[in-house]
Amino acid sequence: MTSTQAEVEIGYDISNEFFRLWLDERMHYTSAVYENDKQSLEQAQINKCRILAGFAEATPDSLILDIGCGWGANLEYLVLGHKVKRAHGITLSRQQHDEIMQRKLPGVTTWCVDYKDFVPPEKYDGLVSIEMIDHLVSPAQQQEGLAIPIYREYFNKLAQWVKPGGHFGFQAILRNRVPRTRKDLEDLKFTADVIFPGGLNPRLEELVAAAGQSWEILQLHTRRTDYGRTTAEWLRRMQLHEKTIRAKWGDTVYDNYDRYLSTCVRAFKNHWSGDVQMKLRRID
Amino acid sequence: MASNVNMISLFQAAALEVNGKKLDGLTASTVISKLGMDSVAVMELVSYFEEKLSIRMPDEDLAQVQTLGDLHNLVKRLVPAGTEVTL
Repeated sequence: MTSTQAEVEIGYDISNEFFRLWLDERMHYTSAVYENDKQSLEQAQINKCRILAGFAEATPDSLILDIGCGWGANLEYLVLGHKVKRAHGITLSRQQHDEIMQRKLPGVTTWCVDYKDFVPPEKYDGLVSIEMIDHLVSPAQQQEGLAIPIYREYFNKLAQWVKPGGHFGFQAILRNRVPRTRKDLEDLKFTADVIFPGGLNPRLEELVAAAGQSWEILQLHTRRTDYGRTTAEWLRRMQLHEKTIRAKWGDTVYDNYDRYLSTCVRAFKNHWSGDVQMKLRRID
Repeated sequence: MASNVNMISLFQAAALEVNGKKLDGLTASTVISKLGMDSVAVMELVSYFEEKLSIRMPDEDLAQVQTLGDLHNLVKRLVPAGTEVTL
């Protein structure tokens, strides 16, 4: 089944303070988009949000929904940076939801709810969803051939939530090549089992097959090297706080995240993983 | 390079070498994920096949493999002409 609330909370609910130490200050926990060699992580995260808001064709008068809104960093960009007057968000993590509430973002309404149970209060002009689809399919479901039907259910459901011709700024982590050595395989399995249990990254061809029933793909950009650079920067920042993290959250947390982020850096470098952004338009 | 390959024999040999697992009763419809091996062991098994047969199974094709019959069909497509692959 899709990642449960308990599984999602393993990945995101250690402590907001822990994540704030090594993510950027706004706590974007998804790939940034770098426009040149000199850009900071902070600027690259804003780039990501700007690109996705553009894909959703967000204007100040749009009502935008962020599906899997994390700690609210993208919602914050939408209302403060992109000047959208109203934005909605849903997340499965209670700690993330609490953090958003504390940010008191003007024009933002959020729900702590599974997307399958969410009943939109009105139709949206546009949607954004950043790497939330990576929680939808378990390895067991993929092995049973259920991945594309589950992704299709997600894309079809979301298509019902937008007005005719509505746009969708979509981003996902991808799995690509499978390493063949035991050490590499065990590191990837560790990430899947310990850091993000219950989830499996989609393959690009699965997404294309699943989205096409309800959405036209207008643009598609791969972001593998951007995610490699993003995770390398997260790792660097976390290692700077090693003493603090070991003292506050214990050796296991530090060692697990050191292994996880180091594996991510190798995964993007070696094409085991990738990332994609798509601009989608509802087919009417 | 092997010129005649029996998939079930090779699969049994691979499982024994990689996982120390003795597998009996394998057929074309045997679901690989239900053989009690974790994903690491299954990929090591794939690696064993690739090395023995001098092939590289494309990841997008591997993602579709569920049964021994699926694996047989994939391997048949990849081995050089002249190599017979039976099940």
